[in-house]
Amino acid sequence: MNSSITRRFINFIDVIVRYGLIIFLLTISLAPFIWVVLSSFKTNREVLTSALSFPSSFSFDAYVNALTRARFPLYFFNSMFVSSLATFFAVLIFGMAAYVLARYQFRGRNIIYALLISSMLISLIPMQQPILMIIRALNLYDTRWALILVYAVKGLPVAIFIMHSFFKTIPKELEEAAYLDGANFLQTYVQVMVPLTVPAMASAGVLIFLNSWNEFLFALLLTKSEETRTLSYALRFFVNMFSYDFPTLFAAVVLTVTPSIIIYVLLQEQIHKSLVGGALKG
Amino acid sequence: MKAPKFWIILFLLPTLFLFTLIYAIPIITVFVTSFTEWSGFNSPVYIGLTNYANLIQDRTFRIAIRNSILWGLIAAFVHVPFGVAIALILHRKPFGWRFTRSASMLPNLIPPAALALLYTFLFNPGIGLVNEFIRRIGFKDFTVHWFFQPSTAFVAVTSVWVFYAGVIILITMAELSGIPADLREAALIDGASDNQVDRYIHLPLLKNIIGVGILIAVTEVFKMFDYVFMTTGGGPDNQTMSLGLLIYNQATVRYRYGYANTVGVILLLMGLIVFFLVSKAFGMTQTNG
Repeated sequence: MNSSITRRFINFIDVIVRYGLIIFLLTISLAPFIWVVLSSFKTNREVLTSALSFPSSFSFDAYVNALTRARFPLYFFNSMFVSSLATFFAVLIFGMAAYVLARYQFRGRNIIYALLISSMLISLIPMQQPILMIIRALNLYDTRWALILVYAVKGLPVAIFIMHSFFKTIPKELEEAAYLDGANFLQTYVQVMVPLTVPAMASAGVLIFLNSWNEFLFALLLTKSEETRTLSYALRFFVNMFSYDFPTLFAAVVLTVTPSIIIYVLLQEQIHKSLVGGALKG
Repeated sequence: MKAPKFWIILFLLPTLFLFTLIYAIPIITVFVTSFTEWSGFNSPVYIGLTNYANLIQDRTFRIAIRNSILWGLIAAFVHVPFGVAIALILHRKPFGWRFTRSASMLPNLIPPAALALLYTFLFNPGIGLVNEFIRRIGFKDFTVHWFFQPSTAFVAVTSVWVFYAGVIILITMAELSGIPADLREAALIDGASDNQVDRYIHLPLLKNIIGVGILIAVTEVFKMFDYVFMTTGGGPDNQTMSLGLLIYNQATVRYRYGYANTVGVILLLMGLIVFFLVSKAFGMTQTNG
């Protein structure tokens, strides 16, 4: 009898802890977003009066202000351009390297693979200064191409890792058949291997795209003018741009994160798969 | 397999070029110039270990190291365990588990700079949610400038990331779903409770992924930049300085390239040390593709 009461009590505590943790998680994950969206519809006076009130009327003035005062279409275009091209080049170039490293015997192969994979342990952040110098020397400072170059290379470890292990799983007979049919090396790669590797390319590509989209430090380091400004870097300027006009500032933040949320909603399954595949690289 | 050398070289060359340009040359530069005095305007002058000796004396550097170690410990002992606990709860598929999992990913998917900026609003003493909430629950005159008071700034910066363990939750749940369900069923038949299954069957099998999670989380906070830059800028009185921001300040603001790169060497070494410590502690076998 006694033990059953104890057990029930433990069960009760157990349920409280479980649901408590879930509610805590949902609150901290969603409340900041809900709050900033609601506050963006308020008037400045309402924002200053109380953080916990609802807007008295839903006004889109803040969004109109934000869109007219900051060049969102430009930032969005820059982010899209930089992230897409970085992803494209990373998948293209590192896919080719991953292919020969996974498939062919040649002198120095193991050393090259070890060297490339060791970059997983190295972040680019300690190398800010030399990278800035190299970008200047290449005459790429304050261009979108500087970011494309750095973001693509940032994706090297994950791209090589994911695609290398994927190529290893493809049976060699497929290539041998292609060779017997008279295809050369390039044709075999492009027509036989690449179509089979699309899932791995998508996995790596999604990670590289998201990392490029969110990147801040190298945008700060390597760009200067508004023409090259990406969406995530533009955040740095909002406080000064909209100072003391809180609803507009909030609207600007909402506009900045909306593409990320849309991307997540549309590509959720793929993003989950990529993150799990990319994490296992450790 | 036979392959013309020409093609192998052609396929490797662009990668090797990029690797050399953005990894190899910078990393060698960082190491070599850490032994020099270099402003970018002069050519580097060899000064031996002077930069390293100065680092040990540098109060800002010591704070940055202290913060990195604290953040690393918080990542390993709070951030990751929280994520694993949530994953174990969601793995039993309670009502709304899918939604909860997606919601937990949201703060990890938006730009970190946006999350940080959002937190400066939340913690704003005038308009923020946090102070007003604390006032509402009874502390009438509560006003804390979270990001600007030395006593609270570290906590405020930490709160921007500590409970946002979406990636940990995701990889742990993926690992859990790979554990055969008969293990649990057999244990339940033997009279074990679900909590005992989690504790004695699931958790040991998660060892590897927890190691991976700790590695990801700790190396991530070591190189923290966006959160600090967007909230406190390292202040007040350098109390929230991170190594990444210190490098940026020394190199870009003060043109002390040699010194900045000395900090870079330390940051690189810290990443390697954590890698070997965690691999050893969790007996992780290196996956070789």
